[in-house]
Amino acid sequence: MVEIIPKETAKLPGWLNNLLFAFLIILLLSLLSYFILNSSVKRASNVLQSLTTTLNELRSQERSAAEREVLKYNNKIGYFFQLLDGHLETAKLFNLIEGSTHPQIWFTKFNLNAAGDKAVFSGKTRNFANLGQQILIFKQSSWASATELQKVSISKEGNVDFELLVSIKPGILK
Amino acid sequence: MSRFNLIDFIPFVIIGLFVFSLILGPTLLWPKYQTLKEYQNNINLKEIEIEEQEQYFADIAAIKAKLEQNSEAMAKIDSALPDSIEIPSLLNFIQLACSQSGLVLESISPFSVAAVSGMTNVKEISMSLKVSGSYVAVKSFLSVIEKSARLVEAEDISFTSPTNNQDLFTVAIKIKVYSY
Repeated sequence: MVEIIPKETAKLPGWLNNLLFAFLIILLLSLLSYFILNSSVKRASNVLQSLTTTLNELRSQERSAAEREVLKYNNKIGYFFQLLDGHLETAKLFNLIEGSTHPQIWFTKFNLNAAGDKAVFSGKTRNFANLGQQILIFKQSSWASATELQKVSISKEGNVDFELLVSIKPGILK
Repeated sequence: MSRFNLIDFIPFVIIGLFVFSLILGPTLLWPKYQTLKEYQNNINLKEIEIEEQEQYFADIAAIKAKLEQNSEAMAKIDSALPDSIEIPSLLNFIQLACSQSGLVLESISPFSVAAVSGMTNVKEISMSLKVSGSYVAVKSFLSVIEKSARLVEAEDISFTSPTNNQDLFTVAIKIKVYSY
């Protein structure tokens, strides 16, 4: 039978319609966000690349050379003062020794180890009294920290031969 | 026979959209967002690095200018700690110091070069000299070398007194100089 009156089209329920609409909007927003994010990532990548180039250009040959020179002098000055602090001046010790030598003592050998602050004196004198006085003079001097009699003997001529190890006070040779 | 009706498919479309939205977020948007965040962090770090580098090179330039202003002091440091060992000029200096002090330079031992511990690039050159002359001349020589512009140190000194007063002292001196 022919339908003269058309059937009413079934309508979508309101809530389903809203849900469809909401999901369509979510989908569109998601796609839009994706494109925005994608373009932002590309822009950020370009900025990063340009910043990397700028950073590399900062280290020009001229600047690197200046940096090397400054660092070299920085180290050199530091080391210079370090070496200067430990610089030994042995020449002044001789004046101190001259001022601390007994008139009756004859030094025959002298050995100075400046780095170890030690000096070995070999000498001769007429008697033990002079030697004792010499040891006392060294002990009381401003530059010797310790005096040790290492060897003593009487020579054929009747002189007293001796060897003294003298420790020099730290800082005297600097 | 039932007719095709689009409305019947709407719930499936909604479910499809829902599932698609659920997949789209974690698979496309979140990784892109993470990448962007990473780029932005890197950009911030690079900007800080550029700023620091600019400051660093500005400081370097300022220090270099100061060094150039104090060129006289730098020249003294350079002569105390020369960039090369410069053995011929050192030997020339020793020979001159000997003759100025009245000593005869009898021999020079082969020199040895060693690195100084704790001082990068600093080298220590040691050599032994044998000189002869009076006691006063020896003292004068030591004073000259130890007060010279180049850092010279007499490390070991040993001598034996001459047997009679006319004889000269023969002195063995181990010296040490430095270079950078």
